[in-house]
Amino acid sequence: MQNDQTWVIEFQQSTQKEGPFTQLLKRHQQRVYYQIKRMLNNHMDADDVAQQVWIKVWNKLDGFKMESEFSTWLFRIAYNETLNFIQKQQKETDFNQTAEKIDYEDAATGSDHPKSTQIQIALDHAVKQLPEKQRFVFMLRYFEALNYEKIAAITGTTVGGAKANYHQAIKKMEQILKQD
Amino acid sequence: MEMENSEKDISLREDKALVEALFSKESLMQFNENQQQSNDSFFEQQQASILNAIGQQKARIIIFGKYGKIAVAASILAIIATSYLYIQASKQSTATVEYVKIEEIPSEEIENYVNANELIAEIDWSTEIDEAAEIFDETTININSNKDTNKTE
Repeated sequence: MQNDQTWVIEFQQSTQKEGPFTQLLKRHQQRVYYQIKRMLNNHMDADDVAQQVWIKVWNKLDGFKMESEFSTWLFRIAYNETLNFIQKQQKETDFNQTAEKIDYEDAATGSDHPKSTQIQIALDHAVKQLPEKQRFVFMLRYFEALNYEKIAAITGTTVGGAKANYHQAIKKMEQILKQD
Repeated sequence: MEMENSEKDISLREDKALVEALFSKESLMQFNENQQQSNDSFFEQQQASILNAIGQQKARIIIFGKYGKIAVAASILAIIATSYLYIQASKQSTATVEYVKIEEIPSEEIENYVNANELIAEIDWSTEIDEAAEIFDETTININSNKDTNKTE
């Protein structure tokens, strides 16, 4: 059973790069997509960003020095691409409260969320209100169960910073819940 | 190592418990499931489209590699040619006729000029005189010879 490192080495040393790349893609495709989807809450956007992430991986993998795990490096690319996408979107559309409200109601009743209950609606709403970095850290910690060292490497912060981001995210969600 | 891992597990459990106290564990699981809803073939399709996009990107690079050098060389030549033509044109446009006042010319230069042209003028005059003299000689000879023939008649 080959691990990520062997596929990376094979990719870097071989002229037939599709094989090892496809192996890496198969191993991490779902986790990357789900993390982006949790951030963006939209299938089409998540699909686009995930594709961009993998194209970037293809272009940069030759220069990857394996100073960190491949998955950490991959999630760091996903993190940057997701933040870039969100920032671009924010520039294009004026995020006012009304749009947010409509979106929030859509999320609750839309086909993407068939089993929404009051508490899930509140959760959706609270997650959406979080700043991007806190949201990303929260998702990685809670749903991906990553340790803080890895989260810190992905988000380009210190371990203390990653911990602070997680706890601030919870505090903020608590405040939002109280407001609602 | 094991102790470290178990410590990490405890801290993860504690961190999760903080959120689960706000929202129920079920709702968090449901949130995650909602995000993971996608049809069975989605990941196969995504994989195919990623590989397809990479293939297209590679093809673009190959085309550029083949014709790129020629294109770059042609554009460099075009830049050099246009800049050369531009420089030449600007040189022509900036070339102005210099007018020199006669007072500014040193008298030595004027003298030299006059002397040189006088010499040419002298040469011209002497040739003119010689030519005229030759014509004059020929006509006088003709007149004299006519007179002689008349006398003998």
